[in-house]
Amino acid sequence: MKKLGERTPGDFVRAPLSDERLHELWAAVERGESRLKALRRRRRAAAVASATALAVGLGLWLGRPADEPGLAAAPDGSKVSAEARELTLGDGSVLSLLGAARVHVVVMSSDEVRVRLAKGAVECEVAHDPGRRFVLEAAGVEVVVTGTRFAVTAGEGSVPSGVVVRVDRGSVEVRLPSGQRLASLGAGQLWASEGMPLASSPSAPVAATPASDGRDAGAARTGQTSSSALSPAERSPPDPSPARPTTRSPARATSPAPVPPAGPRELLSRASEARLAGRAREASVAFEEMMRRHPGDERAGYAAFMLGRLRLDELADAAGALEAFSFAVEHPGSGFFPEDAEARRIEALAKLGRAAECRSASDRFAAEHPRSTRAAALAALCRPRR
Amino acid sequence: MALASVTPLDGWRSDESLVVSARGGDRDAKAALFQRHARHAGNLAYRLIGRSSEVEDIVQESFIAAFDGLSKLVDPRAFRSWLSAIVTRTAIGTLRKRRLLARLGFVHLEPAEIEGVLSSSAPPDVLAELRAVYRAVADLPAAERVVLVLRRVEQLPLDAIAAQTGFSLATVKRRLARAEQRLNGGGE
Repeated sequence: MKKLGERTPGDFVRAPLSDERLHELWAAVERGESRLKALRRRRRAAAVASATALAVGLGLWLGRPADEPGLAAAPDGSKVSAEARELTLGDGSVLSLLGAARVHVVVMSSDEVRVRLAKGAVECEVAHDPGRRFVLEAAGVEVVVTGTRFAVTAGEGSVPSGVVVRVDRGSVEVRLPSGQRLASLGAGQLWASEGMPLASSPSAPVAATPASDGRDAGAARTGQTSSSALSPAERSPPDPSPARPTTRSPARATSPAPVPPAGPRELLSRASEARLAGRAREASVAFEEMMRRHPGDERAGYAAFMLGRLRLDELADAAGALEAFSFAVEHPGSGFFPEDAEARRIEALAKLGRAAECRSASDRFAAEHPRSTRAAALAALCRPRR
Repeated sequence: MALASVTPLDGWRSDESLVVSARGGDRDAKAALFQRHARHAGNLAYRLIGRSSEVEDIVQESFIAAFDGLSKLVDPRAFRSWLSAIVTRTAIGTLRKRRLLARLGFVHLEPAEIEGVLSSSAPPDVLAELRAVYRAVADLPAAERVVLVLRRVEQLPLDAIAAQTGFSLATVKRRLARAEQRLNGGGE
């Protein structure tokens, strides 16, 4: 804070902006950003469609077959480069097809891109978009990513019936179509389905780990070439048994490694790092520890808010989310808007089917925030469904 | 008018850390940056424009531009001054548009409406200075107006004004001289 003598005349002219107006402005900024992104996406898609049309026209003119061996037609207007055997998808992700690989783009929507690898090996450079999931299906498993570079081999050469996944950058999850998680892979790690040789990756040899989550299971086999690169928990042998049901809350089901006592800053830093790397469970453990060990800290509310978001959005733990959002509402602080915490708390109530509490909370929300754009949506969420 | 209390700052993460996270698409980091700097941006826009009706548009537009161009920010620690430059240039654009519309007869140029939001704690000499500046800027071209406000109200040094407006130092001096002349009653 400036001392009185250090004040400039401007310090005596302040814009009439209330906290509520600022909150509405933030919502407008977010909407504006989304519109800008959508506009750019449309422009890029139009450019890609033009390039595709040009390429197809050129191909016809030269008398070349329209359907190159190994390149499936992409329904979204993807750009095909026969020379580099690359597919540039509408979202900006680039698939490099190795050998006689065949892929099909089965979904291209605003919230998901889904590609099926029929055979061969493909390297994927996935465009980062937090709002859009990228899923690659191969030999009965799904590789789910949010922004990374990885390679998958299926039904080819030394991998006649299984699948091998290699991650070069970022992180991915390998799942069954049912959603059951088989493994979590970070950069430089390799995963192979049952019976697959780990050396049969598309290119470079890399280290491999089992999923660190105790709930992970499946017909996966993992290995490693450099144990020093892995944590003790990661070096533990893989669990080849099928998934075991657990009665614990998903958000609290995992503790990959013993966590030493840590201060708020370290816990938040650990949580943020894990969250940004897509390790939702690890992040939730750190946020929860922050909330429980340091409830008096001014950042405890923020930790609880983030914990609630992870539990509700990524860990399917509405009860845990409700607990965390309630804590956040009671501990307003910096880093989040209390209105957001209350809105998300109401969402958790709706997910839990606690209709009466949900309606009462949404009525209260509408009364306290009459100009909020979320009030109507929350009320609809709490309305009984017929 | 009683002003709402200032939102407490998110003091535990530096701008640098938030900018790095925001570049990776972290929505919460962007929210924290907004929460931390929106009021500053709003106040600056208000002082440059002198009217509340366009302040929110300028803040919104500036933050969208700032988040969109985060990758161009060389020093993530300098987010606040970078945002100030964006707000300033957006305000210049708004002022120019308003003057053009006034010339075409679509709107009327109205004097600044700062009386209502001048702090009652301002010393009398500061109040007099502010009133004089805002009376004078009503008729000034956008660039001269902004340069004068940054100099007299924000009390920025000339090189900082040049950095914030994107004008050369010589241009800043020339425009300031013209604006000062107008302020002192020597205008045409």
